[in-house]
Amino acid sequence: MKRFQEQFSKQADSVSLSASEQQDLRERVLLYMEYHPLPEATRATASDTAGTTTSVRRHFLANWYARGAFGGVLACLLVLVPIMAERSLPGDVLYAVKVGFNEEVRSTVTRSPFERVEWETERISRRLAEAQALAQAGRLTEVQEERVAEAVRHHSQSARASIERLRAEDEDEAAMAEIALVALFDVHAAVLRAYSTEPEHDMALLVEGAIATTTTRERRSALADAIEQSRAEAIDPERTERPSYEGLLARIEIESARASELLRTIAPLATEEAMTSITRRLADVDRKVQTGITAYENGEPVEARVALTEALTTTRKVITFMSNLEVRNTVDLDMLVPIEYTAEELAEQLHFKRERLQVRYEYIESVVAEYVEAEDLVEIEEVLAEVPTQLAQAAQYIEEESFEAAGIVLADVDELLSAIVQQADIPDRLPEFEIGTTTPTNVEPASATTSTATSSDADVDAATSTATTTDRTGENATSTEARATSTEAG
Amino acid sequence: MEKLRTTASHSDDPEERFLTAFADYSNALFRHAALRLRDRERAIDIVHDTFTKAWSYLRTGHEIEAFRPFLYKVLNNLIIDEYRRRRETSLDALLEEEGVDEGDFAELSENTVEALAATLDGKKAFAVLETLPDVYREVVILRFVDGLGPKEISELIEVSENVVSVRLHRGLKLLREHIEAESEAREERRKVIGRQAFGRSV
Repeated sequence: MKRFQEQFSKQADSVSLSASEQQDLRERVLLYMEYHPLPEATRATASDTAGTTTSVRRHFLANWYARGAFGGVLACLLVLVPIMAERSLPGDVLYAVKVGFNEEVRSTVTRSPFERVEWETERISRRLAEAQALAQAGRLTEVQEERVAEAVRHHSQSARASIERLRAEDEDEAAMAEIALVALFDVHAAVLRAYSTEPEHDMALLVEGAIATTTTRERRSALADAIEQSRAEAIDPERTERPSYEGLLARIEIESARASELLRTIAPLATEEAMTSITRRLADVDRKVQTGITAYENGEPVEARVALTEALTTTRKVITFMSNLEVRNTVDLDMLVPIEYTAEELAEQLHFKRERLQVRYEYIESVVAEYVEAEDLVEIEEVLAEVPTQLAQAAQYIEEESFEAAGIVLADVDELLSAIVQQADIPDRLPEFEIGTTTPTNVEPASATTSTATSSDADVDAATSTATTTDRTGENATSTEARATSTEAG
Repeated sequence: MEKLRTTASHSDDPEERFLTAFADYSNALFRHAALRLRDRERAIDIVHDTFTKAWSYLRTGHEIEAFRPFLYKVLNNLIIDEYRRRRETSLDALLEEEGVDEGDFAELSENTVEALAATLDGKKAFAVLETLPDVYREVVILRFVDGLGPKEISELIEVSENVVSVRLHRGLKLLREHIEAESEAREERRKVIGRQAFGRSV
C-alpha cells in the first residue's frame, strides 16, 4: 500500500494553490480577522492559562528532584544489567539474564500470533549467531553445540505452533510466516555450508573434543542437523495452498519498505560493492513482482503467486543478510541469493561466450596442422568444420531467447574444442582480445578483476541452469505448484 | 508532505496559533476540497469559509486544541452543504440503489484495504478518481491524500471504522474496475486502428 499511497499522493500534490492564490486567500482571511477581532476576554483567558501552566510545572519539577536519587539507582539496575546481558554468550555470567529474563519479557509483550512467530524466528537467529561467535572464538564445546541445536529445535517448534494458531485466524499470514521461517533456515544452512568449505572454520572441527575422536568429514555438525530437520518440519508437503495474490503483494510492499530502510541504515558502513550487490537483489525482486503482476493480469494466478512467493523469499533473505552481522561476515550474498539475470544480460553473457569460443576456434584451426599428423588432421578438420554451424545455431537461439538451448550448444562447442586441444596437445593460449567490453555490464563475475573463461562460464552456467535449479525452495515451490495445478484441474 | 506536518507552535496566543494553522493546512485543505468538488474556484471559497468559521468559533470563547481535525471537520461539513446545494446523489439513495447494508461487512479490515491498494497503480487510480461517487471519493481522498487513519476518518465523518473500511474497499474496487475498463477500451481502440492500418496497406 505504501507504493500505491506514494504514487497516489504524488499525483494529488499537483493539485495545489498557486502562490498568488495562496496570497489572495491569506489576505481575505486576514481581512475577516481584522473586521471580526477577538474579544478582550478571549485574549485575557489565554494569558491566564499560560501563567497557571507555568506554576504547575514548577511545583512538579521540585518534587521530581526529591525522588531523583532513588529512581536513578533503580533505573540503573533495571535498565543497565539487561542491556549488558544482551551481548553475552553461552557460558557468560549474564547469559541467564539474556535468555531467562530479557527474552522471556519480550515473549510476553508479543501480542499477535504473527509477532510471536517473528519473535521465535529471531530467537533461532540469536542462538545460531551465538554459536558462530563461540566457534570463531574457539569456545564452542560439543555440549554447547548440542544445547544450541536443542534450542534451535525448541524455538522452531514454538514458531510452528504459533503459525498453526495464526492459521486459525488468517491463513494468508500463516503461509507467509512459513515462508519467512524457511528463508531464515536457508540463510543459516548457507552459513554453515560456508563454514564447512574451509577446514579452519569447519564447525565440526571447532568443537572441542571432536578432533581427537572423529575425522573431519565423518562428523556432521549437530547444528547443521538441527537446521535441516527444522527446515523440513517447517514445510508441510500436504499443504498445497499458497498465500493469496493480494496478501503476497501487501506483504512484499511491507518487507520491501523494511529492506529499503535497512539499506539506508547500513549505507554509511557498507562498501560500495556490498551496496551495489544488495541494490541489485532488490531490483531483481522488483522485476519478479512485475512478472507476478503481469501473470495475474494475464489470467495466470498460480504463476503469479509462484513469482510473488519467490520475491518474498528473496526479500526476507536479503533482510536477514543486512541485519545479521555474523551472516554478512561469513557468506557472500551470491551464496544466499544468486543474481537473476534479465534476458538482456543473459543474451550479453552468451554472446560474450560465443565470441570467445569463436576466437578460440579460429586460433585452433590456424595452428592445428602444426601439431597433428596428416592422417589425424583430416578427422580433426572434419570435426572443426561443425563448429561455425554450431556457433551460428547458438546465435540463433540467443536471438530467440532460448538461453538454455544456447548454453547447451556453447557448452558442447567448448567441450569439443577442449577435446581437440587435449588430443593434439595444442598449447591453449588464447590471444588477448578486445570486443568492446570484456565482461557484460551490470554483472558481478566471481573474479572481478579478470575476464577469464572460468568466471564467465560460471556466470553463464549458473544463469542458464535456472530451469534446473537445485535450490530447495524453488524445488518445493515447483512441486507444490504442480500439486496445486492438479488440485485445481481435479 | 503537508498532511504529515503538525502545528509546531507552542504559543498560547490564539491568533498566532490560528495563523500558524492557516500556513500549515490551507494548501492541504484546498487540495482536499478541489478533489472532492472538482471546482477550483469553489474549493478556494470553501477553504476561506472554513477558516472564517474557525475564527468565529474562537471569537465565541471556545478553544481549539487541535486545529487539524477541527478544520477538516468544518471543511467536510461545508463540502456536504455544497453537495446538497448541487443536489448530488445522497448516500441513502446510493445505498438503496445498490441494496447494500454497510453493517454486513464486519469481516473487512484495514488489512484487506491494504491488500487491495497494493494491487493498484496509484497514478492510474488518481486519473479515474473523479469517476467515483463522492461517498467513496471522500474516504479515498481522506486516506490516501490527506493521510488520515481509519479512526480519524470515522470521527470526522461520524461513521464507524468498519463503515470507513467498507467504503475504502469499495472505492478502491471501483477504481480498479474503471482502470481495467479504460485499459480494455484503449486496447480495443488500438485493435481498430491496427485493423484500419492493415486494411489500408493491403
